[in-house]
Amino acid sequence: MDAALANLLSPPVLCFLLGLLAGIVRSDLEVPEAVARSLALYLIFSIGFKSGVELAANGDLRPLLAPLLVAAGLSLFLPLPAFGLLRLLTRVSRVDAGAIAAHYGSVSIVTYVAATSFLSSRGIVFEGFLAAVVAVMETPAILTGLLLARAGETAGPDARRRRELVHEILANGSVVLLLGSFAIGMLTGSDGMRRLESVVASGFQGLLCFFLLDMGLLVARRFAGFATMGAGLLAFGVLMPLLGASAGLAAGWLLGLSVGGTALFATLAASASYIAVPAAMRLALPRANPSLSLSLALGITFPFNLVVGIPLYVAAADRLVG
Amino acid sequence: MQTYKRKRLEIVVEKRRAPAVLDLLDREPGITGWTMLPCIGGRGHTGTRLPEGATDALDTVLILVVTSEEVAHRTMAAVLELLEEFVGVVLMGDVEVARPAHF
Repeated sequence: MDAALANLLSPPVLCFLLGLLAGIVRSDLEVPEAVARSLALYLIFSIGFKSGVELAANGDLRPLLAPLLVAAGLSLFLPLPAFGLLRLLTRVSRVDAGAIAAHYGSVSIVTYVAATSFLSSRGIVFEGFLAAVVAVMETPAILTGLLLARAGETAGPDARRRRELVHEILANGSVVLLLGSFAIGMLTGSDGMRRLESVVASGFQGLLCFFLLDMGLLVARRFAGFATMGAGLLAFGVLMPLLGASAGLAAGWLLGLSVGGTALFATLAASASYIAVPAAMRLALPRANPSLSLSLALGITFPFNLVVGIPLYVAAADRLVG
Repeated sequence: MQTYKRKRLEIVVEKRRAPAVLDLLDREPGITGWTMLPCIGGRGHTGTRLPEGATDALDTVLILVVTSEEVAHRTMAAVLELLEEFVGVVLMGDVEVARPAHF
């Protein structure tokens, strides 16, 4: 309970709530789009770089293998229960269910960043290699979502569209930046950290707050669409992260990760992508309604994880592993 | 001032689909150029689209082409075939130009 309250009263979450409130009262407050996208790039770079530096300090890459494989497996299989739950609870089409399932198998980097910030504020350590896990979990879910959406169809996308999709998945900006900054952190190690510390470490919390302010404004804009979504979809937005988090907790425990690492694994499995997957889905499943998946991932699951989920997953990891 | 009649194509497509459309325009010998502008928002049969901040996946662009009537009809059909199930709008209208050799 203490942790939940501390999370609620932390500057990042309060900034998110401020953005949410400003959006609800239709304030003209806005974060310019180019600034918001620059902040997202900064957060991804910082988190990748810091993880790379930590791994370089450790020097041993072997503990990385099993978590990466398990993470890829989670991303690949989580869309299956998501798809089943959607077909059970809602009346969305097969294509929409497949697209939404792909979002929920993949991950939200910003949710991960917020979770690391929460852990750091509580002095809970976690494994440095987990930023690589984030990158690995971005894409396998897209494949499963596509297979689910297109099951029974004889004709798939033509060769050109398949090429465009593969390019979109492999060269997606957020994945390239995350893996690239991770590699830079590993290569430059503590010397690199000394040079970049004032930017990637000292400024991190403040810029995260500013980014979450914008996220609050975006989420408030999504509220208008909730009236037409139906109770089943809204319930899915909360149930699926809990289901994902349970799978992530089990995976973290089986892998022998620390409390912080297990909580982050749970957070990743509970989160839903709203950067990489929407872009891939526009190419792969253009008939899918992007408003549905974005409203769910951004409007319900993201705020749920940020405000309620993260402290809950940390408490569960503490019970399970601590 | 003397002007010359041409057709103007206005193509609204998702940003990620634009390269395929531009590729098609570049391969059409009757088209001498195009202009692409970012769209700030809009509403159509797939709902309202406004800047998302977190993702540019739903961003759209407007591609303008001025060309002869024959080429405009051929291009419109080709773009519509390319768009297939994708979100998009293709409009054709009359326009007058001052320098006919450019279009």
